[in-house]
Order: sequence, then C-alpha cells, then structure tokens
Amino acid sequence: MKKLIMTSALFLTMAQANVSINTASFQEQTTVNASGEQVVEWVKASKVIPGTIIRYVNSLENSGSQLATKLVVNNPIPKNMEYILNSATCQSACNISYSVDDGKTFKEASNLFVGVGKARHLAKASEYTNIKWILNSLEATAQSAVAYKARLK
Amino acid sequence: MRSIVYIFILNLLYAQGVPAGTAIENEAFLNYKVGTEKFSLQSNKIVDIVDQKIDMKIVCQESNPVVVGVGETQRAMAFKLVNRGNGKDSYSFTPIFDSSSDFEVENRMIYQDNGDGFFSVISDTLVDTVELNADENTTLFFVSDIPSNAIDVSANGVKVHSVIYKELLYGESKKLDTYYALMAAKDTALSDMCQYKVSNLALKLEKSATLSSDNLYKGSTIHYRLAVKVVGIGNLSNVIVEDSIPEGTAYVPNTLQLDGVNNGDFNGTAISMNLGEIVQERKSSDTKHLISFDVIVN
Repeated sequence: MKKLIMTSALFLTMAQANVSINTASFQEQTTVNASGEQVVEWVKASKVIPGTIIRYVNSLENSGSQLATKLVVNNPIPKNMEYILNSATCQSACNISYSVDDGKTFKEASNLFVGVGKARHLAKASEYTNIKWILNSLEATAQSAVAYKARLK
Repeated sequence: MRSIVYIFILNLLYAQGVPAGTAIENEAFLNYKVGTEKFSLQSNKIVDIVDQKIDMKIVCQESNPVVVGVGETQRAMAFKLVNRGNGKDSYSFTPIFDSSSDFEVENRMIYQDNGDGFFSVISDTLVDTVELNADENTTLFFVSDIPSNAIDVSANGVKVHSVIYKELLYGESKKLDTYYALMAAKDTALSDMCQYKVSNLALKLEKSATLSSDNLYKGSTIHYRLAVKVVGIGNLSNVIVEDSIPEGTAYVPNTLQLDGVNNGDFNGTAISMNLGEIVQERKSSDTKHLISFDVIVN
C-alpha cells in the first residue's frame, strides 16, 4: 500500500511541473496616428541593421498546478550584440546579475570587474556575456517575464 | 496613410557594422524547482537576420577653391566617396552645378582615382558606376573644362545614387532574398560640391616625353620634360611641382634637373621641385622653367 501511495505521489508531482519559457525579439517603431501624433511602440523585430536596439523578452508561464520556486533564467547575450547597461528588467520581483566569463560566474553590475592589476576595471557593456534573473517563485497558472535590450554592432 | 519610421540609432563607433545576412540568435535557459525536484529547459531560439543598411557619403576634399585659368581643360576637383553601409553596393553619379555660380563649366566628367591621389586622364578611370564593399572608400575627380567667359567662382559637385536601391528614400526598405535593404543615407550625405575659382594668374605645366629607343622595351629610358609656364600677369609664390613616376618604371638617380642643373627631390614615388617665386611681368607663353628627369622601364 505504501509503495502504491509513493508511486502515485511521484506521478502527481511529475504531472504538475510545467513552466515554459519563450523568447521573442522586438524593436521600436514610430507611427503617426489619426491626430498626427507620433506613437512609439515595440513591435516584432523585422528591420535589423547595425545600431538597431532589440528588446529580448523571455516570457515565463507556469501551466502546472503547483508553485514553482527558485526560477533562474540565464540568457547568453547573442554574438554581435552589445548589452545596453541597466536595461535588464523583470515583471515580478527578481534579482539580476551579470557575467563577463560566458556564464561561469555572475555578479551584480556594481561588482562586475574585468582584468587584473592596473588593467582591472568595471566591466563595460561590450564585455558582458550573460544575464541572469532569479525569481523566488511563480504561482500555478501565473505568468511573468524578464527582458533586456541589446544593440546590433 | 500611416507613416512608419524605424528608429535607427546610428552609432558612429561602428563604421561598418555586422554584415548583412548574418543570423543573430537569442536563446535562454531556465532552471526551477517544484518542491524538491529540479527542472531544466531551454527556450525556443529566435533568429533575426541582419538587414543591409544602405548608407553612403560623398565629401569634397578641396579645402580651398581650386584655382583655374580661363580656357583650361580637364581641371579636377577631388571628392571622397565612402560606403557606410554593412554590405556591398554600387553607385552611379550625376554631376551637379550651383546655378547661382558666376559661370558654368563644360564637358563634365567623373573619374575614379587610381590610388595616388593625383588626377591624371591617363592613369585614372572615367566611370559611370563604382562598386564598394562595406566601409570601403574611393576618391573621385569631378573634371571639367573652364570656358573662355569664366569669371570668379563656380560651384560644382557630384550626386551619388545607389544603383541597386535607387528608388528608396530615407527610412524606406526593399525586400531582398533573405533580408531587407534599408535606406539610411539622408539627402545631405548624397551630394557635395567644391568650387572653381578663376584667376587671371595661373601656373601651366606641359609634359612631354622622349624614348631612348623607337619602341618601349624593358630597360628603355624615358626622358620626361615639364615645361613650367605662367598664364596671366603677376607673381606666383611657394611654387612646388610634383610628379609621380609611372607604374612599371623606376626613377634614374641623379637625373632630376631644373633648367639643366641637378636639383629637387625624389621620395620613392614622385619627384618634387621647389620653384619658389615666379614673376610674370607681361603676358607670355615662354617657358619659365624646365624640369626634367629620367625613368627606366622595369
């Protein structure tokens, strides 16, 4: 009996874990409305040339029935893109840190250094390699999102 | 009709930029827990293809008006054309003229420099179109004849057109095979002008050559003569004559002479002769100075 219950409990747990992550890219578009006013909005990225700023949004959804905890999103900054400082955001409370060594270590921006000795300096945007967001939890059926901006070199 | 403008932040630090057609991929990785169980997964991979930025600029390279004499032919003014986009482009040209000028030039043509920075109808190329890779530049010469009725100043220049994307206006785009071409060049970057300034006093150089043999062979000597003449009446100061030796030849040491006496310098590619001040007290077509030097065919 006990064994049966444990098996059932395990099956129940596996069925409830269902957090998905979906990434999308956006760029700014200015349109003129009927009143002649300029309206700026983020639209799906489609015209990307050097200098274009892209906003990457990672959408999270917990479609399970249990609380998900300690959600960690690691986003390597794409090759040929340069992170825009202080642009990383999250929809719900989170902790944000960065890496300059391809994700081996992460630190807050104010503590992110590169080089040794006289060459040691606070990391420049061009030296960032990864961004990490840590969310404490995501309720069942809830959604959240983390995002950042980067410029095409 | 709705007008749409994509915001281009043209960062001057990135002269070339990522080449058109490059794939930019973003992918994120998620770890989380449910109870004590850990889960790891990765997102979809979003791929954006870099589009081609059509951007070019042409700039007059003459820091002062080019001084010309009435009736002179094939007088050149230099322009620099640069492809500021991130892909190859071809350009065609239209000579332009400021109609408020004091005179209009004749026989306008565009030549592409062979790289030595000096205009020569022999070594430079008369062009209709020029192809440049991303971040590449070239020197063009606007060449024209100065009419007999020329006075004061004439502003002339070059307007550049992208051959491939000529119908695009600033901010517009055109679908290519796997990506778009976007026009990022504003009107002000697509044309520029230099000025001719007529002077009644001008230096005139007449170049001639004689060969050591009936035909040109390897080892033949070419004897060059530059006759320096003055058009008009007055004093010319700080006169320096420079002449590049032709490709395929080598300067013969100690042959550079001024009026039959060894003088001047050779810097490895060009001779240079400082004539100082030249005084012309009356109209004359006489030769004021004769510069000569020899080269040998490689």
